[in-house]
Amino acid sequence: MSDLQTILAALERTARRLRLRRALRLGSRGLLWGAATALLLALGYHLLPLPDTVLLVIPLAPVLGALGGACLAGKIPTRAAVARHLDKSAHLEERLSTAVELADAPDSNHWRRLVLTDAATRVRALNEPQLVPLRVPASGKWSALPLTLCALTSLLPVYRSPEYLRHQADAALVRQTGSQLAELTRHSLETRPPALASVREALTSLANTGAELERKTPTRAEALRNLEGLADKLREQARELGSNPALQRLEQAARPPEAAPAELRQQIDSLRQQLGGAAGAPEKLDALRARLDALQPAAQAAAQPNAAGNPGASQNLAEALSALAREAREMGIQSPALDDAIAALAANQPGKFVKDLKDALADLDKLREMNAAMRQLQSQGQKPGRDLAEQLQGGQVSAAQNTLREMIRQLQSAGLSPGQLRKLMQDVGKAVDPAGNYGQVGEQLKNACQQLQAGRQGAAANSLDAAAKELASLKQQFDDLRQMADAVENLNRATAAMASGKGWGAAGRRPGAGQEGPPGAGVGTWAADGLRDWAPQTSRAWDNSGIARPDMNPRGLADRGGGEGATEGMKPDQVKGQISRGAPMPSIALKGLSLRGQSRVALEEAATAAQQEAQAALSQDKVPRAYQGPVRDYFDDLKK
Amino acid sequence: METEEKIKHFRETWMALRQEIAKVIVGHEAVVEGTLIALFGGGHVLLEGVPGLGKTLLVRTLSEVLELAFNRIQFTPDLMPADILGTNIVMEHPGGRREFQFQAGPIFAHLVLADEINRATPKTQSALLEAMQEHQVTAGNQVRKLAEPFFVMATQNPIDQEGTYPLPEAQLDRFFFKILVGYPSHEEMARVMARTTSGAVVKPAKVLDGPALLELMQLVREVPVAAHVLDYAVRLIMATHPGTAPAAPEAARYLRFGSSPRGGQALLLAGKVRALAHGRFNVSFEDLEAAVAPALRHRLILNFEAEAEGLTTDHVIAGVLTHVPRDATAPVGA
Repeated sequence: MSDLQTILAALERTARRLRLRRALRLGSRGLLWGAATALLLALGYHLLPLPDTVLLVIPLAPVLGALGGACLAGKIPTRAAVARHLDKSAHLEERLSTAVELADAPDSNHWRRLVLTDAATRVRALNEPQLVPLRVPASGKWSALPLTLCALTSLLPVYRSPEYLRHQADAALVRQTGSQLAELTRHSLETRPPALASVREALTSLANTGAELERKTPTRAEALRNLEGLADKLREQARELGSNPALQRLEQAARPPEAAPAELRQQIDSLRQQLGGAAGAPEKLDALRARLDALQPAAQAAAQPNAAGNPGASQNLAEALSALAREAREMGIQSPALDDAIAALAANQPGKFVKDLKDALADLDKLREMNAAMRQLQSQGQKPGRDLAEQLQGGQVSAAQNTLREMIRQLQSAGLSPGQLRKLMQDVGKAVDPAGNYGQVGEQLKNACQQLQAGRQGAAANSLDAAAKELASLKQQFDDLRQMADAVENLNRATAAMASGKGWGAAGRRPGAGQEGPPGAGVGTWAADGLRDWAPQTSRAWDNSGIARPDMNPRGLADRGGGEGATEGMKPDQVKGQISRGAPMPSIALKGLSLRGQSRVALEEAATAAQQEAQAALSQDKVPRAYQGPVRDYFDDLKK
Repeated sequence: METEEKIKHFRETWMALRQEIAKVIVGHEAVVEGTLIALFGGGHVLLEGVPGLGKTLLVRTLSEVLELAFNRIQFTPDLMPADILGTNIVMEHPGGRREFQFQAGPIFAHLVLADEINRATPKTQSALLEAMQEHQVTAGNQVRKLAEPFFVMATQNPIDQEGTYPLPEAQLDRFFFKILVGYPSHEEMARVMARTTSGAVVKPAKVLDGPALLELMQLVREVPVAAHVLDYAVRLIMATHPGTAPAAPEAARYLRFGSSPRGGQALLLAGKVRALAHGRFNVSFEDLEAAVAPALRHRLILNFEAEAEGLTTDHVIAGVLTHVPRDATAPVGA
């Protein structure tokens, strides 16, 4: 190695060590600053109402400080700088720096050779680790102190003023409520985009308001004011939409039917449990039955005494039956007879095999019957109208649309007998009056009726088609209205959540226990309110809320039942309390003067006035749909 | 001769000169070294010290070890310029013809000892200006070159104020070094007393002749200087300039005038000689720092405040050295 190479190699090594030492030094300083910052932040967090993000910054500060400091180490120093450093630290009396400068001089320069040789001789004797030691600087050692103190502060309790905690809770409540409101509304908009632009705009506005509440986090009072204002606006809009008589009719029809009797529900549940995965899917059962039927000839052949000579056929049959049994199990259908048949075939017991196979077929038939029975039970609660008039009368728009389409199809088909045409004319004519509640539908049906009488079947079909389209439009508007009502309900829930301060979950929780979810927070429930891991399949074992036990009904002396079959005078005047499935009424605690003293209005007058107001509110859809039932019942009872 | 051999020769000569001078001069290593540095740097030396410290002896010894023509001029108040430079005198030939003939003065030598230079009048002192700077003498309308090498070794006594004339600034600036000769130490004093009272006569050997000296002086000028070392020398000189930005605080406060560029030249040349003398091929910061006081102390003009406070230029130079960092760039790895 030449003198110059020796010098350059030494300079390279020293340059790297210098850079590393600088990185260590600056990194240690950064660590110290970061640790001090972390300590200050930790103390600040414990004493001042700093945001929780500070907790993320505290561990990051020392790390970032150390890394930032190390990054400041910068580039590797130049050769000249390193040479000067070595000259100084190793007392080389500028030999090395002069040599580095002369390195670029021509080789013929005698002084260059002399200087390089002299410098190289000195460089060979250098001990670089000794000259540039890599030790943790004092700042790095001192940073252990603030880090330890910082760790110890985590043991201290955090002080927050009650005022601050209340503000925080309010802000969280507003954020959560806004988020839920925005999410629900957006979901509603995505799953069913409203047909009416006004409804779309209203829902979008609601979603934006929710998002704004989440983002800006106004005070609770401001948020309530915002929500109240928006609720008024939406209610007004819904009222305007609902003022259409056709929609009112649809709304009446859409009211939930009387609850199915408990026995019926129990039967349906029982059947559903027995059917397992095949419940509500008769086509699966039919497919299974068809495949089992297809295997019957092969099974008969396998049961013959001379079938022992054909093991391949038996094997194929066993595989097919096994596949069938596996599929049945996957569908949740238990068929022990089929398993027995497979076992009998394997054991070469033809008699038992045929018997078990017949049993399996019988089981499948039984399941199909059960499925049909369940569907029948389910349909008992829905009694579709027999003809167009009844359907329109009952507000069954979809059924009416189907009927109209069928009528149009009949009219457009060539083979319409006079009897059928007469029947059709009668149906249409009968439906004209009920259709009067549906805007232009009545007019279209009337036209269709006249056109049928005039023998213009094509025009009549067109009129019926227009009527069907009008119905579809009304249906769409009605769906929009319901969507709007749902939005208003969500808004009310949000208002309730914010007003009560219990949050969205508590505001939406239904009282009472049931199989569909965790028990509510209502009075008289014994389950823990915060219970999350609710298992319906477990609760079915002991939840008797759906079982009617008339024999166990508490009956006092004055409780004579509902008075079914009793004469008018014997009907009980006691009103049973009802538990509404609706959300709790939103309430805002207002400070004010309580009115004391005697009323100056007669009770009857007050009751009548209240009834009238309630009736007006109900007719104007000022009462949320979920509350309309209880409100109507209450004021009806007040009349009595 | 190759550079390497020249350097070797320089070191041998240096050591031989030190040895031979040490036979006569006891102690005063710094003074001897300073004088030799000025000699190899091609500059004149002003030795200042109280009487009896061996200033004249040093110069005389130097003249003995160097195979050079040596003249001594005792400066007195009545000394005239012509007494130094020489003069035209009327010479009568045997035939009776008369003509002016230049009678060379004592300045015409390689090594001139100007003893007690401050005793002559400024007019006489100024007679040396041309000779010292341009190595020539103008007498009448004739310019006469002085033989190379040419050195003036002047001595002066700082304590006698009566009948002395301080050297003018222009004169001072022409001296390469101003070396202060101090008292000898206890051991040195004992040796001096023993040696000078025993009757033994020590004759130093000749070490160097004129041409060899000129060659070594040329070698000195070839010594490489790193850029940052040169920069240090420049910054040292600039720091002595009062009223400028790079001036050191002491210089700004106590100086009327700073060093001339000639001071910088002297500083760097002295550094080069010292580097070679100390076995190096390059000039170091220490070389410059060792030379800065003798090279600059007579070139700095103190102001009234410094005079009033009794400060010397050495105090200012110490302040300048403290103020000016060796390396102007930031240290690496810090």
